Amino acid sequence: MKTIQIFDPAMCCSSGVCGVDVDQNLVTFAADVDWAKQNGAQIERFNLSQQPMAFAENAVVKGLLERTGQTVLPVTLVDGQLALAGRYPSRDDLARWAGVQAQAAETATASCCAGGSCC
Amino acid sequence: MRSLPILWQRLVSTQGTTCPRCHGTGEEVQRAVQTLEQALKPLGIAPELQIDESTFLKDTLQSNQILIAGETIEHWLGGQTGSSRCCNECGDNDCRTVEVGGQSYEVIPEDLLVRAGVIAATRMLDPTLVK
Repeated sequence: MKTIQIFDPAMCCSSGVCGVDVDQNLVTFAADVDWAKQNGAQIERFNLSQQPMAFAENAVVKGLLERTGQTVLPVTLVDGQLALAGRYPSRDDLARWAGVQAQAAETATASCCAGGSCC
Repeated sequence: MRSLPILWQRLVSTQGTTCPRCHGTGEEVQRAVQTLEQALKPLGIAPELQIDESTFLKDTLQSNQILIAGETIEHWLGGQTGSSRCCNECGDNDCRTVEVGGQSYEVIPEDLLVRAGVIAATRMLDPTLVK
């Protein structure tokens, strides 16, 4: 199983999903991370405001930040290699990198309609 | 070195003038390309800016459109295309805007362009994506 590391922009907490003005992208991504973890994916998240050393000690992330600034965040590494920068991965991205089936949950809930005779 | 094509489509009048939003975006595009050159060089990717002033004289909504690796920046940023009234150069037509994160941009700022470029470049590097 590949290790997926997410380097988040500075956020108030580990997920950024708190307060009264919640970013829907962060809510969706947090749900996708939970889903991927439940399906066996190994995912770590690092928050710039709370874990700055993780950014400084990673050559790929540090280099991108130095050359581009915080515009480049979030950065996603897969097994240490740059996989995506500038936006959060989708559930499909996480599934593809982790080698799990993104449609598993939807398929299970939709099974009653399989075969063309929906309930 | 792989190329990251950046195509900026802009409206130019027959007198060679352009509207303020295209003029402003032009400066932002130049800065963004310089930033991307530095940012992407270690990744083996070089931005390649192309400016198209010829095709969109009669379609203002196609002006100030920026395509990176063949996709609009709205695509890369999860945004939408909008429109708003512009100026004399554009006649009575509305001109293109870009809406990202609940904000509408007439002049597209450098940081949005850089972010779209970085997303597009990292997509080029992802070996798990079907080409």
